Amino acid sequence: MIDVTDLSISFGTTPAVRNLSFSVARGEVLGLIGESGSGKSATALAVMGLLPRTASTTGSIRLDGEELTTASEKRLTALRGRAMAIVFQDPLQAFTPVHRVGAQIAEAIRAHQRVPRKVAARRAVELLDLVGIRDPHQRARSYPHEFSGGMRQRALIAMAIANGPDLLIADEPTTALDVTVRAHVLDVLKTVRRETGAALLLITHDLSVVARAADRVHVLRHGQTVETGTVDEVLRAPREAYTKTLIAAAEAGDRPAAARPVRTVLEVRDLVRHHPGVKAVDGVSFDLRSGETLGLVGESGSGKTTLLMEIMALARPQRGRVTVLGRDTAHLSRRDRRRVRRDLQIVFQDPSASLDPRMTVGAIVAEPLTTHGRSPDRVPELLEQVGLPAAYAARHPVHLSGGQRQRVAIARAIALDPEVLVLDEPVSSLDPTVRAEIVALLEDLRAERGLSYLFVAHDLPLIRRVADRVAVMYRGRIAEIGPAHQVFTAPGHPYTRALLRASALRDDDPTPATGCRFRPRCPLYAELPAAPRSRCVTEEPEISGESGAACHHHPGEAP
Amino acid sequence: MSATLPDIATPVETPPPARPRMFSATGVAGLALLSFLAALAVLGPILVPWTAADRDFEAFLSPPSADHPFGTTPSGGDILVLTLLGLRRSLLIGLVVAVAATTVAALVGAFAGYFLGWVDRTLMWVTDLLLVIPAFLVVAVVSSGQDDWIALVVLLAAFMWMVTAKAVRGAAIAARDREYVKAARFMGVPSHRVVLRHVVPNLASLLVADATVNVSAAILAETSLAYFGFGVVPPDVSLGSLIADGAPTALYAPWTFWWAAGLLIALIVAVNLVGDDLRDRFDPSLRAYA
Repeated sequence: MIDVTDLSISFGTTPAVRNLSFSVARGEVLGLIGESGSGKSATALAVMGLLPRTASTTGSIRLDGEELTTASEKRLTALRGRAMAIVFQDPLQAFTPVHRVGAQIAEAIRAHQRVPRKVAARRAVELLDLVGIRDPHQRARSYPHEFSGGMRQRALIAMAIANGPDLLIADEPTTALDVTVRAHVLDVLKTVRRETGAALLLITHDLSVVARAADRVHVLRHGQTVETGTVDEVLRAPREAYTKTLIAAAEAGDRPAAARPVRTVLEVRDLVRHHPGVKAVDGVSFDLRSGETLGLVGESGSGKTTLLMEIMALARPQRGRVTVLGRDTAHLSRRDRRRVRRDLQIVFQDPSASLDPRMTVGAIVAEPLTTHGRSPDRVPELLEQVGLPAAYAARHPVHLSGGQRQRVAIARAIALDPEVLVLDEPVSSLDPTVRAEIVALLEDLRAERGLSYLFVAHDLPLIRRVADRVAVMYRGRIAEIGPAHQVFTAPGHPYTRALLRASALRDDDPTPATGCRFRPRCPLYAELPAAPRSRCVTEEPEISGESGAACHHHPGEAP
Repeated sequence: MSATLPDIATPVETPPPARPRMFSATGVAGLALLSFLAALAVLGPILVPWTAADRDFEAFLSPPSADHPFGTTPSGGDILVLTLLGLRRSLLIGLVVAVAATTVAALVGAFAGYFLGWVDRTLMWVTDLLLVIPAFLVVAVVSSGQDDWIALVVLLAAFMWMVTAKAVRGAAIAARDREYVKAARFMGVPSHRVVLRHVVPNLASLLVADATVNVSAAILAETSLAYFGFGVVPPDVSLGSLIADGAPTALYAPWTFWWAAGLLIALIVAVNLVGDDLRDRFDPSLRAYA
């Protein structure tokens, strides 16, 4: 179907891809895996003929025997969308916000086929149905922003297959999605491949995506092929050291279970934060003890970030109580609040957003010190502690790599010797190998300084490796909390089980107003007889004690 | 899609360039023109043998000559020295008013947008009030009793910051949610320091662009006031008052009008060229690719 031989791409003098060869047959899925800068996106663009003019390409790309590298722009335009189609990572940007989803899919059909408007509209509804959108008639009339992330991605797939392409390229199609939704979208891709018989080129940095959806895999690094083979061969028995590193970075290793420390450094009780129309945080309780890491997981929109911001604000909450190092935040004077801030610091997800672009690294790390009346002399020492040369103090964040920037953000957070660090997805914007380095740094710092971490992440293997305890959030509440090994090996809540198995869950159901909020998506509820069901509908499940699951029917609780 | 391309080739270990890029060609041209005009305004009146008060009783309304390179007025004043003095006054008013108005706008907008609540309501109430006052009339009436140009500067600046303040307020509201602003707040940096250190500097490109527009606007406002006989009063002159004085004779004695008008145009073009360039330089997202 598609044959790429000896493809080399370079931008100016910088090579992006070197001597890459692969082929994908009809109905086959090839996973192209690599970190950013490995040339995987450039390859996708080359196949689509979308590379900028500054790029020079050698080698050959053949689609159904037709050479694409020398094809005219006109011919490529005719092929794009009809013979080959691409699904991008961010589905929100791929749709025009002011037109209905159904109309946009119909437009894609009419761009390549002479069919009446009505036929195209009917076909659009069929396509939405094929990708598993419920109520496709209704949903075709919705606007893109009314769709959830997973629905948008599926609608985008529907648009890509509208003209029955021979080749479908999916460029990081699930990177922006949560685990259970990701699983659903990958299932949809499988269905689509079966229905259309297209060859699928799946580009990703995520091994679990390849493991779930691909037949063969092609590992890229710095534009060169590292290893290639069937998914089983490569993932079970990798031959190359780089592939092994990638696999190791994605694997879970349990922390040894230990008795809980005694001293509580952060306590949250029945915390509530309602925005108009959204119950972002709706009664959350947990505590964090000295030297402990509490992992907080949950899909986007589960209220993790709101919860962190409520804690960091150190103000009186709407309802409930936050106690930091024994001090209730509702009764802090301005001076006390500043004092507490020294002991409670945060590292954000995206270091390019959390570092002021106008300041030098030195000024950024010095800011907490000078703010609290200490001398900035420690800056070189702090930079060295996070593994950066002291000379970097004079640079601006734009001149650092992502991993280096996150090191600067960590140096800033530990500058005041805090007791508690809040880590808001500190590694999710980084590549796997860099990610492993930063995690190792955080682990070292914790061991050296006896820090306590509140560690938010949606990467479950990562949480399993770093956390002593885990809390799973679902739509504003904690669904399950407990020691990491217990939550991971014997999950009590059906949602936790779904997350761990990466089971496919739909994400297009509204949260019910009463009873268990997980009910509409709950596989357990679906199987229950009528009598125990009623309890799920009327009564909101609670967690009693410091560990447990918020489910009426989990093994520990009588039905 | 092309936005994702550079990372393919981004080398991690490149040392930072020593200095962001130099001025662009138009920026250099603007800067050269502006420096030339400023030098003329400062030094010119000293070098010209005439003063503003001198009258040459042998040359009324005479065209440019060796004695009077720019010609003379109907009352025998030397237009060269008058124009240079006018340029000096206009340049001074323009720069001072622009800097003052932009500073006020930055502070009012940033504080209102960052704090919101009653700070915002109070500041925006004042802003809206000033917006609905007919500025031209008020400046005209109030300044007509003054012969002090500083008072004119204060009045012009007082009516020139409101629209920018609203734009700055919007940008400051967006900046509140920036993570580096949150990071500073969670670090315990006092709110006013967050505004001055993190919010305002990151609006620099907006502010520089605004200050440039304000230089031209202030010069033109002063010119209009002077044209209608307000603002700068004789014996003090500005480009505006010269244009006003020259207008009746412009058709048959063009030198009474065109020198001042030409310098006004040159001045405003120069300021805008420099402003465009400064705005690009102040934008940190552009600096990354320097």
